[in-house]
Amino acid sequence: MLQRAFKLTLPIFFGYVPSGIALGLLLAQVGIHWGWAAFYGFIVASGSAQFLGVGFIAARAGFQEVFIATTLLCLRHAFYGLSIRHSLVSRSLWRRLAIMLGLTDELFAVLTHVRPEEFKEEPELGFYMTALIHLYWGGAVTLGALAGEYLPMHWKGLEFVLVAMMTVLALEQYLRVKAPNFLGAALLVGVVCQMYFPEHMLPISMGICALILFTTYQIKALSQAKAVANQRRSDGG
Amino acid sequence: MDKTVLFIMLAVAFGTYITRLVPFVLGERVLDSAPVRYLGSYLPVMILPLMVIFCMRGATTHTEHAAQIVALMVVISVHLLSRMALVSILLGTVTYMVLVN
Repeated sequence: MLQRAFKLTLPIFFGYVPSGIALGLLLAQVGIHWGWAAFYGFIVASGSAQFLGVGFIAARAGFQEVFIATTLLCLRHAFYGLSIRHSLVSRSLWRRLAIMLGLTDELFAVLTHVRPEEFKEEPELGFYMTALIHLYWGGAVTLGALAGEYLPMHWKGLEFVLVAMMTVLALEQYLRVKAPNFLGAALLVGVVCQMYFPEHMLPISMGICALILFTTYQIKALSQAKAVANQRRSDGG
Repeated sequence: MDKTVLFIMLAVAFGTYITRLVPFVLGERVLDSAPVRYLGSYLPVMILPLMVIFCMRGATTHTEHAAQIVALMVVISVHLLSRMALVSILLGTVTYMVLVN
């Protein structure tokens, strides 16, 4: 079964090793000891949120700010759980919980592609897959941190990796939903908040953006209800 | 290592884990509601640009600011042409490093 789990998670392995090493190198760059980098890599596998965490470490941000930013960035995970229920068939509650907690974007993509019958035949497959990808990630982060510590290369400007990565993620999201108004609004809100509230830029700007979305939804729902009512009236008349 | 760093690491872990438990605590009914779906599909396209701006604030000098703008344009144009994340990130970072050194 371990063999099957490894085969299924092999694409994740090839994705996690370079990006985990990059995270470890970045942590070494901001002065984190490799032991703590390993701790960071093994307590959670959260990809982009952990890269953002490096930015917070460099800025020495507070717990609440980091917590809010991480929650909002990972909010998409809240929609994943419903689609992978077919993999939660292990007899052990702890193992089912481990799959829920270890559900990264990549694991989600792979789990949704495994047929439910396969999980019925091998109830522990999902757990082994989760455990494996967690090990790939933690191991790669540790490796990167060790490399950064013992092959010292203080390359000025490497921190731009973070900006580049977030830009690519934002661009991918934009190409997916094609919402130029929301993108433009977010950029405007972000720049204004950066100018006026540099200390708490993220929580304030994220709150405003969530409010914009919520208001837009309400307006849309209202106009839709009106349209339905008008339709009824004209049908009746 | 100071405590602030440890707290940041824990905040990232807790923040992630909470979002992953949400569907199992709230259940299908709440998550399938229209407003939650709407928020879930458009929030990332607003949050990620904010992250970009947040990550850019490390720059202090004029050279760094100018280099950021140039490198950012490299990332965007390369990514729109190639759609290969690793290539765009690498080329953008190299551009920035060459410009500031």
